[in-house]
Amino acid sequence: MSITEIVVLISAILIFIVVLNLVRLRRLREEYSWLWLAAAVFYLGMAIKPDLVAKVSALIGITNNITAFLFISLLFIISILIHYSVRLSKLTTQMKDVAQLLAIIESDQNEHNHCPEPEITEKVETMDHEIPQETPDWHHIVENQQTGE
Amino acid sequence: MVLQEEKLTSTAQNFLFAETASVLVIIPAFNEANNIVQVVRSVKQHAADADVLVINDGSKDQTAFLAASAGAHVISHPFNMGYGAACQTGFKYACRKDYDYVVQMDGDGQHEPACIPDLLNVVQRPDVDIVLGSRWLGLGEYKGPIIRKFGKFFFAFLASVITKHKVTDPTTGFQALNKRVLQFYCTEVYPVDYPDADMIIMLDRSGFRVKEAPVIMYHNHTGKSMHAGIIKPIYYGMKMMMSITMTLLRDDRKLAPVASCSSAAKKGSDERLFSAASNPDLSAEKFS
Repeated sequence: MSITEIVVLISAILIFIVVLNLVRLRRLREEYSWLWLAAAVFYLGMAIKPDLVAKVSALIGITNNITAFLFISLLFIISILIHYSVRLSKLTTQMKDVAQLLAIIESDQNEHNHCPEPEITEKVETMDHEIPQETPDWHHIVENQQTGE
Repeated sequence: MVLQEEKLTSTAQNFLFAETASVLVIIPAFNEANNIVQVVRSVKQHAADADVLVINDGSKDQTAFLAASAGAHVISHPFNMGYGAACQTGFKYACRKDYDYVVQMDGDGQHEPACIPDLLNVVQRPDVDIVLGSRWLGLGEYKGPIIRKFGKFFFAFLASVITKHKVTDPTTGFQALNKRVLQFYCTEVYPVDYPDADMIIMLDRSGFRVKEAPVIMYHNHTGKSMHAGIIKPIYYGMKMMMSITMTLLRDDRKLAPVASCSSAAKKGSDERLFSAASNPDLSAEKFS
């Protein structure tokens, strides 16, 4: 086994261990781990049996092992990214639905409690509905800025 | 220990009960407009003292309306999240309302509500935390497709070997649980898709006492099957093996509650109900 193959083998084993440990810690959901594990299996295959990949890549005209390795790696990464994009899209839609539902429920509650809807002016940038007791002295601040320049 | 030898009669008279015990029957439902009214009415008939909650998991039909008109309390998800998520919504609701026992059953009519009193009789015993209704323990004749049977038998066998108790029906959605398991189910341990043999192994490893009891189940020919074709069973098998491996590698005992839901509610800490991982004080070791 050449040095390259040993390095690829160790990387594959590391990817396996890292991904599985993340799933074990519940920091990565199982459903997202499959593609990463498939990539690790591919690297494992590359390290153990490089001639198999060479045969497949020869079919599409790639003679260089490294080129084949990079090309297939790229395919894996693109697949994972597309999977993430699809998942993100769905999550965005779900977030929107939840946010809208929350907003409607909150407005129902406000109606029920007879609370006036807060007026949103340019000055107020907080999420609180309470009007601050001490409004900043805008004139003073503007004056200071002008004298400072 | 499996209660195969006990003769269980399913009359309401067997519904022995501490007078203060409250029971919630949760029924996750997705597009079950055809069955839900019958199911809810049947549950109310066989378990008159229990409250019924139907969790509408983003149904596109009239499930929510029909369930409410049949007398159930209905919670509707804004979108479909899956069977596990729907069950967990029911569990979280039960935790907030401080129910003593929860019965979980399917909304498609496959589970016989007359068996609810039997399950409750078992779960109220002081040595039982959760009872799983098994269709293979001699009550009723369940006829299902063969491939499903093989997969289930294999994982039931695996679960039996690992937990050293006899497990015959790991995928059953017909269960009754007490407050301890309820709070456990409200944490991140509960799967979003389908709780399966890995859940039983997790319960056993976390120190809960799991029992099985015979129940009657009917096979619904129009029901959706997750074991159709060839790819799905293989994917399912791989997924299960990974889940079981992960369960064996994890240590979820610290998520198993010491305090019951009611004391958590008294402390005013809703956070604990939803994320026990954030509370390092919750440790089974201190109280065992």
